[in-house]
Amino acid sequence: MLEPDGYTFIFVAINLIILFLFMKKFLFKPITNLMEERKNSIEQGLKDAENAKMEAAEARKKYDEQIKNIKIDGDKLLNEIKAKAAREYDEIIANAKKEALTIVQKGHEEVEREREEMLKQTKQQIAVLAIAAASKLVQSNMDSDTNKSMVDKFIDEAGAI
Amino acid sequence: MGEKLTHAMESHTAFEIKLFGFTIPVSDLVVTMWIIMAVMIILAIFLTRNLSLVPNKKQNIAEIIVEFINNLVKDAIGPHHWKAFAPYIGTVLLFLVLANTVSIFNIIPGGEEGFKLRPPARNINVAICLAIMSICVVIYAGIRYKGPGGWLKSFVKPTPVMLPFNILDYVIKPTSLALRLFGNILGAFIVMELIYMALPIFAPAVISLYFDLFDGILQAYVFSFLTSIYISEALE
Repeated sequence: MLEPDGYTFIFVAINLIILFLFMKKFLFKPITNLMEERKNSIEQGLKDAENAKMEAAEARKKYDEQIKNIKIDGDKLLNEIKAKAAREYDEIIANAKKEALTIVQKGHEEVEREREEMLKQTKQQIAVLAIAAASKLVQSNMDSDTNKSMVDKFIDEAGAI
Repeated sequence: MGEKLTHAMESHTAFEIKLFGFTIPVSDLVVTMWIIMAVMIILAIFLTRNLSLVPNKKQNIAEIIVEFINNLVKDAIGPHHWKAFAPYIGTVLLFLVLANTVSIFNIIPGGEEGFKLRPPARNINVAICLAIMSICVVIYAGIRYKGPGGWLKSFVKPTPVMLPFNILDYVIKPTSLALRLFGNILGAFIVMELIYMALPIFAPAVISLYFDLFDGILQAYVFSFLTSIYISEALE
């Protein structure tokens, strides 16, 4: 119990060192390493998740911006097309009006010309009729000055129509 | 009765090894220690087989033990150097926990003369050996992390007047460690032996819970905790 015992002392020291080496190799080192590894892997996982979240948010922002740009572009394009269509519409209407006007004018001219032609023909016929009537008058009563002036007046009047 | 008590307290030569003409007696303390070592090593290997990042039941037990020891050492030594000393302090703690409570595992039938598991630390040689090993680790820590010069200088700090006291420190520390362990374990052992002699076999269970289990585990904890405190002092 109390007597010094060198053999026991040395045995205990050797045993303790052997036990220490075994426990270090089989228990403490692997478990400590494993727990650290697990800690690292969990930290890594959390970091990765955070990164992925941030990336997703960024991508979302980019897409939103792109969609906004596309909308703006679309609106611009639509407006342009609308303006172009209105311009073309106006042009077409104007052309149609001009053409209609031309056609109407042409019609007028035609009518005028025909009228003039008719007038001319009528004048000629009237002249012929007048001459026939006159010649008949002349055959019956062509001596008086009154009759002569009457005939002239008639012819004049006929020409004035 | 006194003779029986003395018989239980004394260590006996279990067998002898003949080596190169020398006769080396192996006491029952050493045999008990070997049994405890074998149990610890087999348990360690069994619990840490097939380690994986996702732990299973066996691994959980090992992790709880190792984490408890790591935290104990981390609290005492600090976050920088604990890794170098946790295995040794943990080994001592686990060994002492088993060694101090070994008498409750006495399942071998046999009379007074047969081999019985008794705590090895009831012998002063074992306690002193453990304490000297501890102080060796403390000295190693000082030399390893301060350099030999820095370690020698630590003897004359804070003033050279402290030199004899600092030297005495390295004698007092292991002595107090050894005597605390030895005294507590021997005292508890004697009390238990007396109770076993006086009371029938089933009565002393509650008392055994205190003297065998609580006191033994407490002393193991105190021993390893003080060792880590001494190491942290040496590292300052």
